[in-house]
Amino acid sequence: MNGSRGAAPRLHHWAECVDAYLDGELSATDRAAFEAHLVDCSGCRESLAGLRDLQVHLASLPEQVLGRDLTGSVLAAVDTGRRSVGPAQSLADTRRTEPVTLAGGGRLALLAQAVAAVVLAVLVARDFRADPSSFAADTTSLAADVGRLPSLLDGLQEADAAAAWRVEEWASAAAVPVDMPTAMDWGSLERDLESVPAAAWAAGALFGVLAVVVANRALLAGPRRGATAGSRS
Amino acid sequence: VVSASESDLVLRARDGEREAFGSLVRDHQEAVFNVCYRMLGDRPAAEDMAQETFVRAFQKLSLLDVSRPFGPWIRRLAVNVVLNQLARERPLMAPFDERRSGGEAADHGPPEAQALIADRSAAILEAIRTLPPHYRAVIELRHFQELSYREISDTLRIPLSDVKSRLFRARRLLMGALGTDVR
Repeated sequence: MNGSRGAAPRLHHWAECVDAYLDGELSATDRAAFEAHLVDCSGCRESLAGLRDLQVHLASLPEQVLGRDLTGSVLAAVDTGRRSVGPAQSLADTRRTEPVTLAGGGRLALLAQAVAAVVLAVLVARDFRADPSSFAADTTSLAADVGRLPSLLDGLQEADAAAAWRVEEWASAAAVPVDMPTAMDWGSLERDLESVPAAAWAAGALFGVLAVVVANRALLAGPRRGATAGSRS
Repeated sequence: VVSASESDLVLRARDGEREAFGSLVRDHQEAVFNVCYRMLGDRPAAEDMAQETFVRAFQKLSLLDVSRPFGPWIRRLAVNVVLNQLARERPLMAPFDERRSGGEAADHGPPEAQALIADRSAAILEAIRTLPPHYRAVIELRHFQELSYREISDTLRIPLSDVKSRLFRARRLLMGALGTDVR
């Protein structure tokens, strides 16, 4: 566009003036300045012609016929709104998805979990960046520790095996059917855990945090106001 | 200028008289539906939004200055209701569906002429629908409701400079979509 030729001091952007001119939004002074500019600027004249074409296009859009009377469904929706939310509250507001509200304690718990998750993520990321190989070793060690914990429980169960045997004997003598639990193969679980790659551990941790957040939102959400109303008749 | 009957209807509806509000709905439902339809390009969705607009209007009647006409007020409200809905849903820009749009335009002469108008209308509506929602709103308010920049600014609660820039961008996008010369 022919930028400044013949420009009035206040009209720096002729391109925007084309729209304002078409819309009757220029002051009398600016309008006169722009019309003077138009004489010399073919670019602005073409812009103006293009905008006028668009205006004609849009004006040619026919009105659509609604085809049915909305009165009944609107009044039904209004009535439902009155019953469920009262006159001072917009029914439309009840349709809006309300943000989940947490009770004070719930908010605190969620905040604490978020902080803990961030701290954990930072610590893990720092270790990983420092030495990825040791990070992998750490996760293997973690898997072993997880495996050892139930082994201790297995030990307790074995220590009480005699008592269990006595219970079975008594049950047999009394002809009472009994199904004693057998010890779980924790060693196998430990081996399985050791084979889990570091990335899977990280993904699992992330999933766990997300699951806690989602559960919090679901369990601690405040009651939603009103119900959707006003379906089409 | 507001007719005595319209301001009376508004006052009675404000007092909770449902029949008075029903009359306002009957008088303005076509216009409100058309606002929604131009912004959505989808008849069922436009009907839903028209209904929603009236429900919201009923709740906001106390805010209406009865010395001002009801029609422009509710048409502006419709734009905001649709904008809010679009912001909530963030719908995908699905191709314009003629089945949802065509066939029910007002009668405009012989069949050939009507077919031509239908084609052109579909192209215009499709072009509008490809715009981002806030651009559709300024096009609706300026070109179809003929509001001034200041009025658009007040309706959408955006600065005057945003009205100008959105209108500028929206029009260039429309001209591009419609094959009008873009300059």
